[in-house]
Amino acid sequence: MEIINQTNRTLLLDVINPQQLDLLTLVGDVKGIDSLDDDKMKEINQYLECRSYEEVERKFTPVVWSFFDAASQSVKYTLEKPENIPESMLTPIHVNESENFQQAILSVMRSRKAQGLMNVEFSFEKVLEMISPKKVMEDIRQVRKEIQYNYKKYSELEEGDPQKLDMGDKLNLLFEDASKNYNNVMAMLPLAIEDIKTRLLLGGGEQQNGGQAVVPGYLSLGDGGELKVLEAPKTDTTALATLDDNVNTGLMEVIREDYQAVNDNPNTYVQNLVVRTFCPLASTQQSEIDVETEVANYNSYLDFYRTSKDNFIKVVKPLLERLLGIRMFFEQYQTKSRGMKPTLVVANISPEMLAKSANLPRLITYLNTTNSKNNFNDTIWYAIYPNVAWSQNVTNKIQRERFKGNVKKVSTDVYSMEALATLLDVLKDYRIETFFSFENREETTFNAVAAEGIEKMIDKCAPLTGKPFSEFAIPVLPNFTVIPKNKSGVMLDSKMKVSDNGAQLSEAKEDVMRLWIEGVYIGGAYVAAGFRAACQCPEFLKDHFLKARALVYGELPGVRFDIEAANNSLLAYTTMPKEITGFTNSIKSQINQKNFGWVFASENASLNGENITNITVYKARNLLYDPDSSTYEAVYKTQVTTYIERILRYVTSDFKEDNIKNFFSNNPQSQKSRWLAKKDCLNAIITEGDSLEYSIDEVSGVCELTISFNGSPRNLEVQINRLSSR
Amino acid sequence: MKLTGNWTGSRKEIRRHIQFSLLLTGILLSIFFCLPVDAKETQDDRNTVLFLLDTSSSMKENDPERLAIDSIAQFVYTLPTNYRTGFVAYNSDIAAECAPLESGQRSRIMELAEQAAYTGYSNAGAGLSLATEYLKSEGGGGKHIVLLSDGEILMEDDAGTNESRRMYAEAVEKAEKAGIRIHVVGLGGGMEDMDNSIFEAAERTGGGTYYTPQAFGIQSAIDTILNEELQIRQSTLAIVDADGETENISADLPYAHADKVRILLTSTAPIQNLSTNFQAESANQVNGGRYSLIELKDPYGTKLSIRFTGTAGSQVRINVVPEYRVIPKAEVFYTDVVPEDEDATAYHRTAEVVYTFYDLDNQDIQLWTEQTFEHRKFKVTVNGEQEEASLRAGQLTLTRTVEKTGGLKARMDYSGLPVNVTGVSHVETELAGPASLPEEEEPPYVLMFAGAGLLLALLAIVLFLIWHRIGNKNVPEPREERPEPGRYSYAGKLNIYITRTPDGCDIPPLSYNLFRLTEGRVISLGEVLERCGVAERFAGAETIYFKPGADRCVILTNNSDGTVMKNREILMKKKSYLLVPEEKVDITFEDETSELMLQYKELMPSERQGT
Repeated sequence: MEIINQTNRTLLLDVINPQQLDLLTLVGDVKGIDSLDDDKMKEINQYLECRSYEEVERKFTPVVWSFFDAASQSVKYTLEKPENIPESMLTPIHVNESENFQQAILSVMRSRKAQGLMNVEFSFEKVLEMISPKKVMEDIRQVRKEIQYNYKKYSELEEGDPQKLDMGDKLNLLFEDASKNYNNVMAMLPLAIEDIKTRLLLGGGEQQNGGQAVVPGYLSLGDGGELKVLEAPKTDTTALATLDDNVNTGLMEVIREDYQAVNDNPNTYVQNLVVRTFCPLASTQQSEIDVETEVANYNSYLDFYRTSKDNFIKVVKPLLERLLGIRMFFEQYQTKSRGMKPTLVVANISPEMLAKSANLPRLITYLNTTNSKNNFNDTIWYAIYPNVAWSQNVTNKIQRERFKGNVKKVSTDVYSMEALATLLDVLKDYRIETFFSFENREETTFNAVAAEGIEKMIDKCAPLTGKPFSEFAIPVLPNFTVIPKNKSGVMLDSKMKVSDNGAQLSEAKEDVMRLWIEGVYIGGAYVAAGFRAACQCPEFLKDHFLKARALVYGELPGVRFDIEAANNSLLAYTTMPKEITGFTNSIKSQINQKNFGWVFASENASLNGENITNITVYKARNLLYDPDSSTYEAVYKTQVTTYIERILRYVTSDFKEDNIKNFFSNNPQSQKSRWLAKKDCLNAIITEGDSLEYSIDEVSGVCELTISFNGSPRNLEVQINRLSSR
Repeated sequence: MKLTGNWTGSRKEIRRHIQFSLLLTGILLSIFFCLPVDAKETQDDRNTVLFLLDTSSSMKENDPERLAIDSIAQFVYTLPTNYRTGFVAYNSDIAAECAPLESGQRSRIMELAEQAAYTGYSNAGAGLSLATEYLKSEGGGGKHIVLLSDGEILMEDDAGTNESRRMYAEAVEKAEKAGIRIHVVGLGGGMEDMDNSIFEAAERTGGGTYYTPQAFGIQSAIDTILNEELQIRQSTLAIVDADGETENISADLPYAHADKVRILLTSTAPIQNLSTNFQAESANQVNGGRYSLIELKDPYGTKLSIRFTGTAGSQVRINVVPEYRVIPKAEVFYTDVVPEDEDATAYHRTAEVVYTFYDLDNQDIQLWTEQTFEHRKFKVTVNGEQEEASLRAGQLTLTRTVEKTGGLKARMDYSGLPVNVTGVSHVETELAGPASLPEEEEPPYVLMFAGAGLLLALLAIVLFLIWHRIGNKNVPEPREERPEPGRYSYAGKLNIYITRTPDGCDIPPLSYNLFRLTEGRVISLGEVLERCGVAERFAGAETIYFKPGADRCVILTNNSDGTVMKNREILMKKKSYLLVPEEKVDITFEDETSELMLQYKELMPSERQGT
């Protein structure tokens, strides 16, 4: 692509990890400078620019800090690194794909998408069981199997055999994985829980036997012909078993040694637990069980696990939602051949902080560097401002709480409308279109929009309309639901009780350990920005419009691509699975009447006989209100105008009058003629029905461009540079 | 001269020391020991006015439009609060009567007057007798009767006429004795002869006589009585020739803290759709056919706007009657000087008596400090002798030499002021006699040094205060530092981001549109910030100037001691630099704490339309 090679670089105005570098820190002092130097830009890109979700995870290492609070005898979690607690007391929990809560959430998303089921049909409980100790144990079993298999191979090979070194590498990796579990007590808890359960009940209660101790034996006929299970003699082992035992003894030794080495504060109970977990054995390893102590341990472990998991989920959820948002931003771009892949610059700072007047000059200087140059590699075209505060109007005043109700969500991780307005005022000078969505809560989901309409959203956006920056503000609704609030319960396990028959799982209702995730959502702004960014790539358009046989010119971006036009929204749609059965006609006519916002739809639709099970884009509008037609303006108009202005500035060497005239001339080599030649393409800059005119006001030296989109004009004024002409 | 050791100097030498030191301390005394003195308050007597109206059938001819009734309204409502007002109407007998009422009940008089029908004969004798009776029973203060009639006394038969004449003459005599002044307004051809018996009442009681052949002249006669006979202070705000459209009048009311301000609209035709805009504690509006009265109680705004629709071709007059309730208070400042005379035993004492006027209801409010009252002549009777003084900053100052302790009785005559005044006019002040001179053997040095020390301390305080004032405020530098106005026009705006303030508060981004300024105008950053509503002061901002330059640029001149940076370069002081569109400048102010960044932005023609 010539001149402008990307039109989808996006700035994320949010914080991922406060310990990592952020935009303000990197930009530094800007006193007396107009823009940043290239070295500085390189540094900023090195730290903040990401081209994939994995890069975000790598660069920002999202982390939750945990520490034990002796006063309350509990585990505390926090996103900000607590400064008054010594480093050695803090345990970072990395929120990456191997973290099991995130794994569970991702599994929910993947399986729902694969099955094409709506929220109401999907059984969330099953997948969410992944965060119960049982599942953790299952994962460990897998690792364990691999370790045993590989260690066996390793011990069989002779010293000095190159293959042995290869095996060593493999084992190192596996141990590394395993050691993640046994170097912190928290990770050991599910192991301990399952371990006790196995020992007391034999295999997680699949074969309930009342908790009696089990002695292996064999079936035989007695002297009187009666059927008997005889206890197997201890010495009765086969050669193979001996070999296995040898391997296991070696492995146990290795694990024991590794545990000692990795842990600063080793403890025999945990050491035995780790050994038992990773080398569960064996006939020769029998030990006596003190049932009462073990049951008490089990119950307190389970309780502790439940509380700390609950605390952890509360803390990690906002971060996880952000990460899921970023993941979805990148996921929208799915093409066979890579073209203009969206990039994300993560500011990694709270937008409230960025909007302080002391910090705005730094943002301005940064944007001056990216957006006010004729180098378009770093130009930022979009911004994402998620989690706008959804302040609630209390209509029903309750004098006394008779029943336990919802605790009002403490909105600490939400950002204000005022900060958004301040930032928009700056961003509009650099023609950055900002996608914003309201905070994640039940009121902003598909369900709520389907039930209540969009009137509330329109009201809440009122402070942003009728302003010079309205054109650059895109309200995105609704937010996406990963786990609905009413289906977010997870059953961990049941407590145990000691009866005459030994240990038993309790069946009492209050002994079932359950925790509530209270809904996981993804801000609409991420998906909208990701989808729009994807639509900029001609390859993406080509892939999606293959069936419609639409012409796509590979050298032009999709700035003029109008998702609302024709069947475009049924050909290019998001990767998000459908959530509800759809909006009612009255709500749709309410949306169509005003053409408000960037609205996603979860409608039943099919094109050429193929059902669309994904969420589509229903409206793509910003907050610029056109009172003549009483609608809001389509977003593409703003970007086309920006694109034309930037190309014009570049081609005319900063608006030289002669060059402007050439630009618009009928010469087949002029930029306008070249655009007109591609007018039949899906991603044409000027399509059929559009026009691009200009007039020069000699007195004020202003060139006024009139860009008509299907008859509705958009004006753009540029100051002519006359130095060359006269 | 020896300052220590045995004191052997002559009496004259000692006296010289004393003189110098006492002069100093004397002045100090005058500053520090001014004594507020209790004023003795006496309430003035109330005045009474009674309007006597002839409602005989001949009035139908002479006053077909019943303008007399409107004139009564104008008269009654113009009177200040300390006037009690009564009303009597007569034709063949008494047609309507109302004993004198307090100011708040005047609408009852108007009800009676509006109901009065022009009918029957003219029994002025009965009317005047009743009026005189009413006034005789009133207390002290001025008593006035205003009689409006269109002809001689005339009853059904001669006997009746004579009886009425007798009664009239008798009433006049009684009035004369009781000190009641009768003002007569004659209307129409029947009264053209000014020697008739009706007018005689005025001559005998010292009242005024007025004649008007046509009814519309009654108003000017009433005006004259109000202004000259009753000394009512009113000012005409506007005279509007109505054209049937809505008229908008806005005016300043320079009567802050007045007790009442009455605004009276009178016209020759009906006034409609009257609406007024003002700020006052309470207000009252009375509408008649051709008059409207707005009575503002305790007005606190100084702006007044009136909107009304007059009848085309008519004239509307708007009069304002301000009224104050006053209590004067006196303060005495003494200046003691050691007399030249060697034999004198006491200081030479001068007392400066300063009278300040306060609102009677809220004695914390000082009155008449406005420009309207400055240098107004004022008559004061002090201990029986009349003097003339003028108001300065709302105060009157009298100077007296005091030889011995004694009282000072002052009586204020407020008639020289452009407002109506009620309340207290007497102030009694006690003047303290001068102290004896100190004994000779008293060493003079203590006083001398104390005096000098105090004076120096005072001087230091004053200097400190002046310095502090200058230091704290963005006092503009002398005018000549301001750059000359430019030749060009502004074409852009300034986006301002205040990055640091002394108190650390966060000020949202500001934008100031330079385009709206006139061509060539020089504006300082201080002015820009002030216009943007920034309350914080930035030291030196007043001397960082902008003026328009060629090619849509602005020229920045820094005359302050702050640091201005552009493109990594510190701009030199008192040199001008060009700011091109999109360029930004960082400024650190003189306090080395406050900082801001400003960016000059161009405005496109379409953006300018909205400004």
